[in-house]
Amino acid sequence: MSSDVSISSSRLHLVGASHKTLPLDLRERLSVGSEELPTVLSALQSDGSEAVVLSTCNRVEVYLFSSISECVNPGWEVLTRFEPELAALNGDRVYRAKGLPVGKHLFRVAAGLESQIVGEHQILGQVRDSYRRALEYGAVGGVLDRLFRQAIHVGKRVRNETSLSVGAAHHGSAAVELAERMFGDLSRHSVLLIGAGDTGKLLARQLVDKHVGELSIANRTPGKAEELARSLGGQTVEVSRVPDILHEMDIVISATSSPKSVIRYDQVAAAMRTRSYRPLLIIDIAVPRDFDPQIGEIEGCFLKSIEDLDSIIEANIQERISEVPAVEQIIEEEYTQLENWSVSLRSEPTIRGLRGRVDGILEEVLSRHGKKFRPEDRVQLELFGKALLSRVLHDPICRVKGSNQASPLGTARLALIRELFGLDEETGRRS
Amino acid sequence: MTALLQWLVPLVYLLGATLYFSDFWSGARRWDRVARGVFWAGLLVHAGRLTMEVFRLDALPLGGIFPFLTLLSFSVVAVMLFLEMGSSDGSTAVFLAWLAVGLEGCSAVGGPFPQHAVSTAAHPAVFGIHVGTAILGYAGAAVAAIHGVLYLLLYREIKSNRVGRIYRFLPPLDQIEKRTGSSVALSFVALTVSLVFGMRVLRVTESTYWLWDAKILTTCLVWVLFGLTLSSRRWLGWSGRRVAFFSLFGFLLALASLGFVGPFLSGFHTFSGGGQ
Repeated sequence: MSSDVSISSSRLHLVGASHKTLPLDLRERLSVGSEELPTVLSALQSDGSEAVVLSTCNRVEVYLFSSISECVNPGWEVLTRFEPELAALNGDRVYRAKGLPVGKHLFRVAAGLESQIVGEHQILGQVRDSYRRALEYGAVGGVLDRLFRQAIHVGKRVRNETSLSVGAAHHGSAAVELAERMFGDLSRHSVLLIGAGDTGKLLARQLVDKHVGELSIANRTPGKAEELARSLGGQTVEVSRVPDILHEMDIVISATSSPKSVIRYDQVAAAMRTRSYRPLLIIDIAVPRDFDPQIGEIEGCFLKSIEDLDSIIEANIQERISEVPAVEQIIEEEYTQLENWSVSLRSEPTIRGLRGRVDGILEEVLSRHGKKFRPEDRVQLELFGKALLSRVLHDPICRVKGSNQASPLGTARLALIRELFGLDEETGRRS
Repeated sequence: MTALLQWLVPLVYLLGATLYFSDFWSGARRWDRVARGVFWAGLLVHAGRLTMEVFRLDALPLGGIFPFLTLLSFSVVAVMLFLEMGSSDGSTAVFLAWLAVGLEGCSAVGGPFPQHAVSTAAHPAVFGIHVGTAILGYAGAAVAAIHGVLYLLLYREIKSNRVGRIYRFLPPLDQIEKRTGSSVALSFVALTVSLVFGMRVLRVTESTYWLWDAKILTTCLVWVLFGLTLSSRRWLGWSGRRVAFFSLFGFLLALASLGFVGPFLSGFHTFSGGGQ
């Protein structure tokens, strides 16, 4: 067996496919649901390895730390066990990595750099969930535990120290962002949804999730409006009454399939006069438009079309991209820490063995001479012995840990300790 | 000690303003709370410095542009912290903080406080309240105007779908508008008190309650304008750009009163001319 227990060895593996390498229909076939996860994890752990499966709508990845050196990663075979067609995929479609680059990849994933929309923040929660579930099933050991904890830390740092996840990247969130930029706390503001189509419903749902004050729904088919009002928790309004209640609203979402404008310029102008030109946000996502585009020129009236939302999203994504170098800097810093930790692992068996050896000597001496002392004195003697030995070992252990263990000096120090105390190179036990 | 405080206050404000700016530049809110703490500490030191001077002179340290600037910066910081209190909805402090740094820096460069109090026949406390509240009123007008400008900038960014630093960093339009209104209200109340006490000072010094003085007139104009703004906001539901423009106009009047009318046209108030 190799004496190298650091994770730069060939024992740490990654295999996976993402939105960059596989189309959605193939990714769907690979995805691991919560019901299948225990089976998949136990298959991956058959030889006592550590395993974590990260399965999201954009990626399926297996992280494995093998209990034996020079293993072949069984991850892909396990993932594709019911999909023989996919088992043969390789090259550009499936990516594989070994050793420390696995850690760097995971850091990039947790940071949101590998997401379909750069900086997408759900991925951090998904990484955390995958780690927790693997932990629950007992599939995580020292190495993957450290790796995933650090990846989650990287994700948090990126969110706290950069603007990578700032700004909306979807129509729904862009609409909510606009509303919040204008009104802040939405709980004291009212929303009117005109039309009960899917897109309008989606935008209204996002606003309802932000606890808007009051939601009114107007639709040509009253039944649909009532159904939607029940599901979103609002009230219905007749379409003919919309111009009359416009002045009471703060946010209007319009998404009808009407072939001509539903609301005229003069109707909004009158509503704005009544509300003393207090700001009104109108999001018109209908095609053709429900609101006369001239309405956007009225003081206090913010008329936004789907193209406007697109331009906000585009600007946000550009801003996120400009943050990528700062994120990569964080990843490099964390990767250096991971490398140091990996190297420090080489000394662990020796240090563990040294401590065990010294504890053994203390126990032996106490059992031989301890009978000469009273029981209460024996306790004190044991404490004294432990403290003394701990002090004696403190400096040498610090020096071993502090030196570059990959260097000739570091290797020589470890070898000397093993030789002096008769410790096994691999296990650290007395040889 | 006096010399130390003279430089310590602007340096503490500078530290706070730099922290606010760092957040504004990076787009993250890492230093927001620390910067607020630094400004609170600076305000306490500043209050200590002013209190020492009040005890020394037995009156507010006035007489000259530099003592006036330090009182103004003190008021700006006090109004800024008052507006930021309990708000987690974004900050406008980065803009106000640099105003305070500028005012306090100029004051520190100008040298120590005068050796003697401004001589007046009025009771020092009455005179102090008159001047102190006037300065608070001007500071409120400055803060309202800055919020007014920020409102107009954010309004324009949202209208034109420009997603810049202003769009991301400033509090929501609604919040800025409320802060403008609060600053106008504070300024109005302070100017009311100042005018009332000013009449009392006039009664003692000139045996009248009114003088056709340019500075009194412009201050009254600011007071009337702010009164109208508050009334329209309260009873006509005015908000947004109108309040922003009114606050800006009020500040320009206050600025004219302080920077031009006071020193050059007013025969009665010679606030920045080195004594009364």
